[in-house]
Amino acid sequence: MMPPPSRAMAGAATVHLALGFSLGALVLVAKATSGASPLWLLRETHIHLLLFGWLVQFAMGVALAIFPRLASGPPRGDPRAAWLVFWLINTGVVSGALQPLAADGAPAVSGVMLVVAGLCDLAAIAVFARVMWARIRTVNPVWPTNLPVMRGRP
Amino acid sequence: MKLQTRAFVRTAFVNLMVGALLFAIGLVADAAGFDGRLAVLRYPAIHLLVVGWLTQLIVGVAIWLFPLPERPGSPWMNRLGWIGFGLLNGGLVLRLAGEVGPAFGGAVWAGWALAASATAQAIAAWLFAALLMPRLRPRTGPHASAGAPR
Repeated sequence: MMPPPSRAMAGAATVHLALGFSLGALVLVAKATSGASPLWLLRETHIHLLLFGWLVQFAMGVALAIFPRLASGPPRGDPRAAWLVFWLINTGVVSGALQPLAADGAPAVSGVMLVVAGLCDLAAIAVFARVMWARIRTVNPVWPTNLPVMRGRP
Repeated sequence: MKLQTRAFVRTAFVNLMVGALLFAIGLVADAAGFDGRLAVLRYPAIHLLVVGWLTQLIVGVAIWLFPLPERPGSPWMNRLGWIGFGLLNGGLVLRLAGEVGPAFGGAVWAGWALAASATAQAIAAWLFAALLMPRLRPRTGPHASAGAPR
């Protein structure tokens, strides 16, 4: 069973996938129809949404669910830390995605958003590494996996 | 591993090989001065690696691994996966044609190929979201604790 933070991360990542692809489609259409278009501004938003919002966040959510559980304490580590990862990475993604759109009109705001995005993304990765570090271990040396599909199959 | 997952994963591996090969050709052609037009291969190659390999592999494994919905989905849900699969990979091929076309005299149709590629891949992403979202809801029935990959 996927824990709530995993479900939230995978769900948010899936939303970022759909949004990121849609924005990428707009950029590609701009490329196809004209050389210079304001839609090109969406390119960085598209990359940030898909790299951090989709790929990184989805990997984190699935890792939280399927890595070996801890022998003592909460089986998947502190759930508050997992929720912190979720909020940090999504704050970073939203800030990083909106930042290029503010670059022309409000460069100072755009700069702050860029710093917020960078710090939130970095903090999310650091907290995630802290949560997962102890779970990177071997549970069963004979068949070292805890994927449900593998259980009981030699 | 169900048929759909096998198709996603195998196609992802093909995209990985083709993407890496095209990227290498683009890089070498540009650096060694063989044919400067081949440098345009790098952009669709990156796309093949990030979308065709990474994203497709992830979606394929998620279809296999994520808990099944509480009520069995309609056959239509399975078709969504296949339609998304076709649109994603068709979009990748169109992207390659659209990027390479102008360098080899195909500027007229290249724009249409890029626009069609953009539309196809965006629809594919929304289909994948529609396919995966119901499987992320918490299960409340008698099989609530079962992870149920098939």
